[in-house]
Amino acid sequence: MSVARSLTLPTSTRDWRTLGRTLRLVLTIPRYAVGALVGAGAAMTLFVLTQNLQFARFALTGSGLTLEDRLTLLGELYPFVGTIYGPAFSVALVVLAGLVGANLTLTAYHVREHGLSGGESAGGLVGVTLATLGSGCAACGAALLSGVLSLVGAAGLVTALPLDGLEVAIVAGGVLLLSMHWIAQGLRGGRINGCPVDI
Amino acid sequence: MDNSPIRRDRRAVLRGLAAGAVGLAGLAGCLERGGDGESGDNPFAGGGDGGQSSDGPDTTADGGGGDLEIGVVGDDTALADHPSVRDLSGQPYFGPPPGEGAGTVVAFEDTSCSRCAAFEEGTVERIRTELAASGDATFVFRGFPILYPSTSRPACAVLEATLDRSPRAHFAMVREYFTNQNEYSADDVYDRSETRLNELTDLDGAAVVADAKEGAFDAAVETDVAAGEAAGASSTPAIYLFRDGEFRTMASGSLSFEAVKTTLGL
Repeated sequence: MSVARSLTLPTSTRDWRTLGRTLRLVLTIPRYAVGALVGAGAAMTLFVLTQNLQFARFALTGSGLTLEDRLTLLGELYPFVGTIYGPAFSVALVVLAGLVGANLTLTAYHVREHGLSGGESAGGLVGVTLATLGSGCAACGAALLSGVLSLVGAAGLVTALPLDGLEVAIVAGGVLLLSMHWIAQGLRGGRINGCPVDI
Repeated sequence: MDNSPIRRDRRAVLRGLAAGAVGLAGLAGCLERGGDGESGDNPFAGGGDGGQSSDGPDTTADGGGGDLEIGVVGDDTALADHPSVRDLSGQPYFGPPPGEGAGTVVAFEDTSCSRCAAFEEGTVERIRTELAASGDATFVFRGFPILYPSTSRPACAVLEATLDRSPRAHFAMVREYFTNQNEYSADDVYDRSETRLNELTDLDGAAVVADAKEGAFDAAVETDVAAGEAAGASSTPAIYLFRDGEFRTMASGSLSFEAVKTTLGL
């Protein structure tokens, strides 16, 4: 499979069906399904810790806290468990974490079975980076994005974002989907768990 | 001022999302807040001391379980040295004087930030009624207009001009900005503030807004921003928590009341 062929854009229903089937077949293998869950959990933890590292450190090491207190405070960091994030960003974070988990498991499968091209892996890396930045906007952290944009002289751009920075999370999701599409294209023509990838 | 179509589009999108959220909340039977009435359920409404100086605790409001002390921080506090309490003298608080109760919450907030509005509604309100009124904890507000400064910076200037006249009226306007957040834009923040000052407080709204427009309180706004930046606040709300005067930790985002209470050991 050439890099040029695998780095096409998903333009047809068939592309999306291939991606879905590839992911479903990989997740039928228990160790990859567990890997996807662990990856999603790790991604979520990365997202929330980048926002509240100091608070997490206090929850883990602060004096005078019971185990229940520590669990309460750690749970506070996560969407839907605590109240730090609003509904829209909570959904976005869960979706992004799920996409990162799926991306990681597809990447792991591809590496173990076929090796991986630079373009395919770079897409996932960019997606995770954007997803982490997107999580930074979730707690009114558009300021975080402002800081990044100010490096390129475009700090004011953030005020033009109609969704208060949710746009970054949406872009991150797109990049992750693109990366997964590329990996799925790389697996076409083969078999996963005994089943043909091609529909 | 920012009158761009993009800015108006952002407001339109946010209003649409807010309308959807309110609709869902209403369906779930959780709708509690009006917000369009003259004072609504603003617990600080009616404040304003006719121009009285605001040195020290001088006003009270119904704290839910009794009178709530509202004031401005004096020159000395019992709080440990920390960047978040830099230049704390003159800052507004409710509850016991900072450091004298078991817990102190110092919050840096942007009046245009939706998570700050959620924090105000869900957490600050319970701090007021369950911790501050009983003397267990103090809440200190510091403006941090960094997200949408075209709207929130004028709002913070109005807040500082209000605080100069009355701490209670200041908290009435803080509650107003968060409760009716989507009603304020860069175009009308001064005009609407003047109207609401006249409706919610005994102050002369035109005089307060005139002071804000003239930049008389820009330095006060900048003092809070500098303290927030020194404390490492990069998003809002940025919440700094002290127990027995000692800094414990900080959190970014709309921290729940339970988490605040647990962190403070209350």
